[in-house]
Amino acid sequence: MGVSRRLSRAAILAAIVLGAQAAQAQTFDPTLTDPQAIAQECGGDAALGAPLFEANCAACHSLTADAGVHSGPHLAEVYGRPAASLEAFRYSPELSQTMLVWEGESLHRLLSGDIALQGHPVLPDDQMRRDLLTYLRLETRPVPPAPEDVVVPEAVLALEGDTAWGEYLSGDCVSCHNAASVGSGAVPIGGWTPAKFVTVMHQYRARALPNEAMQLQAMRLSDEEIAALAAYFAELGSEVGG
Amino acid sequence: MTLNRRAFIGTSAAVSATLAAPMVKAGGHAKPRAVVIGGGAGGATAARYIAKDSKGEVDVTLIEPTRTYYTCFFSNLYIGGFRSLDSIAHSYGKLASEYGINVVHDWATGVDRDAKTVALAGGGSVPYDRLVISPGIDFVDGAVPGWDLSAQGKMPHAYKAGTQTELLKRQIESMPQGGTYVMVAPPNPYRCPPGPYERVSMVAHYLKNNNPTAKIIIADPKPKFSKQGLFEEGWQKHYGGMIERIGPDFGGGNVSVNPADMTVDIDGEVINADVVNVIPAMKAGMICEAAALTEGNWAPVSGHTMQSRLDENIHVLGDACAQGDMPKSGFSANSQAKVAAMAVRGALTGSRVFPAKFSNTCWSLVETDDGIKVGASYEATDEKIAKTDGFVSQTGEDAALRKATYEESLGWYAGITSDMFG
Repeated sequence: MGVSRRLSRAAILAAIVLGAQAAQAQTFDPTLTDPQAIAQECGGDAALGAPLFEANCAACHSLTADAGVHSGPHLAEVYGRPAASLEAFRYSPELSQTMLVWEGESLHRLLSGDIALQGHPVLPDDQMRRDLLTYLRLETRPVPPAPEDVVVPEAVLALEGDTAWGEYLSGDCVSCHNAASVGSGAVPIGGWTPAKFVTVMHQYRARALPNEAMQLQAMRLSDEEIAALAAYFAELGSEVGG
Repeated sequence: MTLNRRAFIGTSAAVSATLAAPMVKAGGHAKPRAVVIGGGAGGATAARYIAKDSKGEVDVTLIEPTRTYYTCFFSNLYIGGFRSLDSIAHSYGKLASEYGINVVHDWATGVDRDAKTVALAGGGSVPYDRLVISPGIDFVDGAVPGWDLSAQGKMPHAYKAGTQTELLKRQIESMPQGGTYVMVAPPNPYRCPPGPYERVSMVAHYLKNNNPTAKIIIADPKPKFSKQGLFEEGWQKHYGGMIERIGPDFGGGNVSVNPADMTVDIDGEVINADVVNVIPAMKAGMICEAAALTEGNWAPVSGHTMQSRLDENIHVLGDACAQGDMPKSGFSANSQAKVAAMAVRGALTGSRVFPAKFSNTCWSLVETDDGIKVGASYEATDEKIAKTDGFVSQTGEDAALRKATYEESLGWYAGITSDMFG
């Protein structure tokens, strides 16, 4: 390929970062949130991993991004992070040259010494590594943004919704959101402005608002489908849907 | 306006059908006719959506034997004392008065697929251009040796809500102190995967407060069940020691019952029980078999439209159909009904048709204010309705979240029953 190594690495990093964001936004991956799914995925016990982290890692690494200066990079949202990619941290040349992405397997190799990093401790026992990584993955889960920090792109807000399509799609909304259910759970959504509807759906999609049922709906709907629903409920007014 | 192919087919079908078979409703007219068999979460929703969205362009008939419909969902909460029977009872009045649906209270006994008519137990027949069948479930004969429908007054299934549910609740309330309730759980697939385990939770809730030395035994042919970790966590926490589940490893799948002397034989061990709740293996509601729409126990359908794989003029919804990944639940049936209603309307009036999308969420109550849920989204492929994504409540959630989950289920109940019955 005619691209220089450096360029291609940057391009790959960009693609990975974008991909990770897209994956986080569009799928309901339980290993992002669910302790059971994380334990299953990592094959360990977080309770056993916690003291291992304290004894072996905590002197150099913090679990959060805002815990002050440590000699090693922070590990917040480390899963899916390309190696040597935190701007605030100066990495060794050998790590900066790799194309590694930190995930279960590469972290295992780092901890077993298979990926040699000068001065980095290793854990010889496979199950201990699993316990440690289960704890690490659990504690470094991505923190959802605050609702007001979710920015909906202008182009998405400008989409013209197809009300007939929205009417069909609304079937899955009105099983909960209709006049009868108001006061016992679901909020009324009829008569919302399209901008409000679209924004709230994007907040659910980013997990900035709680409730898995709504997050799931927001993630499975395309921008066009959300625009169609927004147009339909806006047109409907408050007579139905609350 | 150009007449598209769908509209043309719809119109010509309607015209030719008016020349066939005698009609229940006098005064034939040229409107296309949709007939719906079964007035539950699938059928009532389909009838309402076809009528509502076609704005009078389609003549809709709903055939349902009962005048009062008790929802199966939330009937466990009645057993636990969290709901009254009245609160899960619904009538078809609004579907008739507000949506102009012809509600016929009769049994559909057969379908003449060539003549496109439905035969009624009370005599006569109803012609259709499109037929929607949503009959729910019936039980497989001989599934639990010693039990058949004639034993349901002694050993209730309570898996069709109403008098059966009342009977089961009365029996539980009449148990002697320290008595034994046995549930014979069904094999997959069956209506409402978490249903038997929510029921056990509700029985345990009642017994804990009224008969704390009583025992609950579940004989289960399945190695695993829906929301198992969540239920078992809750049983341990709220009802420690009261519930014993015997899985297939210990003979839970090798069960026979004797209604005359109220005993249950689990893998050779005979238990004297005070209440025996037999939930046998299930199959599609019998009209599906009568209409020759089944393969095995269920009626196969296309996920794009819910059309029967064996007859394109018939759509089968809900528990009765074999569609792929969706659980057999009221929520699923309600979701499928909207896809079917859109397809029926598209076929009969030429209205626009969009790609099918489905959802399901199942809430269960484990103990007062301790609600859990599992949900997923689905899309149609050529082979089946395929799961695209999903979530489930987590073990160890705090009490506030569990309470919010329960309250969400109350909102859903109010919402879906209004979506079904208007």
